[in-house]
Amino acid sequence: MSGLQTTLRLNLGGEGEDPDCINQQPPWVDLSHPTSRSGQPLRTLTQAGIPFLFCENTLLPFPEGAVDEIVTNGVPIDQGATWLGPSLDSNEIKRLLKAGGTWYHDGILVHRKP
Amino acid sequence: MFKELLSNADRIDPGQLQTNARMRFPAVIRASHLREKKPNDPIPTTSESKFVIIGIASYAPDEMALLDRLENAHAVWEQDWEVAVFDVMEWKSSADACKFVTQIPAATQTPILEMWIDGKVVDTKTGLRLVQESLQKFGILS
Repeated sequence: MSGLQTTLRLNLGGEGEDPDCINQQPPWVDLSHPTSRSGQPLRTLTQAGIPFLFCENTLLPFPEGAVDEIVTNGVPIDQGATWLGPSLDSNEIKRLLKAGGTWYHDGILVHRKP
Repeated sequence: MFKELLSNADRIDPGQLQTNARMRFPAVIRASHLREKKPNDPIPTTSESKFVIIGIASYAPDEMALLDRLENAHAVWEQDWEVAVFDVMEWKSSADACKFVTQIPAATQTPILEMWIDGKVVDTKTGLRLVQESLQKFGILS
């Protein structure tokens, strides 16, 4: 068991800018288009070994209280449906956090789960 | 001035912060040298017209910062170019894109850019890196 990751960090809408996170992207994302931050296609980033998880913003496949830290940078939160699909849901983010887990939005600590 | 809309010194709920930014965005445009691109606004088609349409996501600090850079550089471009901006959150579906831009039907990356010279589209881009590069190529940003 000692080789298993003990800290789980998610970057919702992430493009690999945080090296210690699993990056979540919605299923409609275009793997071939250059990303906004690095200018490299997501496919290149995944092939380079950066971990990505593709799933709906509103259906993050983790059990309640499973995540140590969630990062969101420049992504819509609680904005309802966008032209691409649903925005991220703050209740879902808070559901995933462990007790004491933290949510950083655009670099600011905005929530620590009691 | 644009990026300040998303500053969060009081650590308020990000959703509320983004909603506030979205509501205040048009007023900040009016206070700037940019103009607001509204749905179905006509595009200048006269010869020697130079017109840039930029759609940004009002929830994205990096894209707001791009507008700040444009505003700060207004002395460079305002003699030649008209720069019109809008918030992609105005789109309710991808079908709404055509009310703002003519040749970017279904962008999955923001910001989006459409450049017109002499009434013709000369460039389109999506994504921050590519949009910045295009603005630099046309001498709008240094």
